[in-house]
Amino acid sequence: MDKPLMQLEQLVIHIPDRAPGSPLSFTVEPGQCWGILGPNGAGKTTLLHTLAGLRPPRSGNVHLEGRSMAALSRREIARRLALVFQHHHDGFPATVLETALIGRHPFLRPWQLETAGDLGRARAALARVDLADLEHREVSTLSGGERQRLAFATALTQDPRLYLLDEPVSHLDLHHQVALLNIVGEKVAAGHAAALSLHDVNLAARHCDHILLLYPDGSACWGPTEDMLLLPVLERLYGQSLVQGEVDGVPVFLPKG
Amino acid sequence: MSRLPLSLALLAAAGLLAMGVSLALGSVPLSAAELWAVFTGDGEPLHRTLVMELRLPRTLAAFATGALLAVAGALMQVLLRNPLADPYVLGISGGAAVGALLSMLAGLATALVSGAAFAGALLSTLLVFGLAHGTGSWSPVRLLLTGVVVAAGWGALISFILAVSPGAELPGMLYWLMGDLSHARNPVMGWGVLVLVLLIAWPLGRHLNVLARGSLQAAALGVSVRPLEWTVYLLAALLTATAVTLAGTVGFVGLIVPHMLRLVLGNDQRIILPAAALAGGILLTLADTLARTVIAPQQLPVGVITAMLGVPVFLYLLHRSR
Repeated sequence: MDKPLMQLEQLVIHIPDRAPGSPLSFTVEPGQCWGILGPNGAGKTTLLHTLAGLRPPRSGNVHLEGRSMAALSRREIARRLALVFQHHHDGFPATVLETALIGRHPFLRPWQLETAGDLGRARAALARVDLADLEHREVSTLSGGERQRLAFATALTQDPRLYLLDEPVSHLDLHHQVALLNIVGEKVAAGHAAALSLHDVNLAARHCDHILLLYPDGSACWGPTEDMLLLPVLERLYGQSLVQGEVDGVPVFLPKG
Repeated sequence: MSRLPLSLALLAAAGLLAMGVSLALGSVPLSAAELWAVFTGDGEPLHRTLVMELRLPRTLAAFATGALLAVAGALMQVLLRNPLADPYVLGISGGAAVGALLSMLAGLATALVSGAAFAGALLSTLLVFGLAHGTGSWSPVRLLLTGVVVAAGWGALISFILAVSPGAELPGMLYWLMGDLSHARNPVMGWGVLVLVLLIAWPLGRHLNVLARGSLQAAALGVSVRPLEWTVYLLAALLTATAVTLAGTVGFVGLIVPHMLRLVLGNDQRIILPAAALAGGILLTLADTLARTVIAPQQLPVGVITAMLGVPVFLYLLHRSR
């Protein structure tokens, strides 16, 4: 067994004016895909940012490949994990290819220029998300879904052990939702790991092997997907009555009208 | 990056040409051959004095001022994640102006006016730095708002000083406020600061490219955002303070030069920073040549020329980009 990629020890994320709730303690092993589910405002984004070291936790620790997050430099963290944001701010004009290429930043020395190898990685990543034909386009001219796939391509160019994805499929059409999650699945099968927040329970049921449920009051529970995606649990999570079915042996949940 | 050597070589050649034009034009126009003779050591003594003691220091000062302002503008735009920021947006020029005008009011010598301008610029830098740092969250928006409000405060002080100054002092003060190179005699400090800052900032180029994508994205890609932002701020402040010390507050160079270069060369700071130094230097060298020849023997403040060129060019670019 490989050593865990990420280890959470009694982690409480910091959300102002919220009770600490239940501390998170689990490990993300190579080959695991964690789905993070919860209603709006439950702290999914805050958790992912905390796991990436972008904001300090209220208490507890995160270890990345056995080392405390606080002891790692930003550059060392960025060589091991990628975070794909939910929102993208493009203040300056840039092309699609340049935007994918910045994923190589943590691996280059200050004076070093991008090599043909770096460009090749960026182009391969763009091809994986069906953006190869748009490499010279201005980022500002992309649609919301294309921009989101480009952000994922930047992470693929970075190619870390651990992918943290904040609602990676929220703007994507059905085909690209499945295509993106299949790429994540390939990475996970190859020994990487992923943690992604999702709003679609059914995608989580198909693509994630572990689930973390975050409640608005700060409480949380986690475990293998088949133990977590149960009708009463999800109804309590979302405060919404659901109906359950089954397709191809995988549970399917739909909201009641 | 493949365009880097070619575009820089072209700009450097244009820079030499602009300096040549600036050295040749004036009350006694020189031909290219006469100018060459001065530099090879066998020109006429009059020409030699004219070029070496009068025109060359001023041309070098003009080039340095333009380069300082354009690089400061490019850095400030990345720092504030706003392509329309300029070196003066954070109030540095206002502090320098108050220092300069107060020393003029006290009747101090030119060298002391420059010193007071530099001190005022540094004071304003530290003031904005301290106020924006404050407690709680920090963001480019907070820095921008702090700078804009401090600049407004300086603006009120400038108006007050102008209102209470004797009439004889006013033309000199207005020339300083418009930006004027007729008192710039010693370009050594300007060139020194320019080279120093470029040597520090150029290796940071790729970090700046990532920072331009936003501080969170930059942090996720391994950039230590806060130290980088304060480094950029202090470098831009040093450049701006040096520029206003040389020539007063010359407008528009720091805004339009980086902006135009981004339209042509893209937004890679490793190209933009050296290119801005060259293009800013060229623009101000040519503008200053115009300022001292267009209605000779009277001289215009160079800031009038840059604003008259800058406003229509900028509006055209803005119009075209929609």
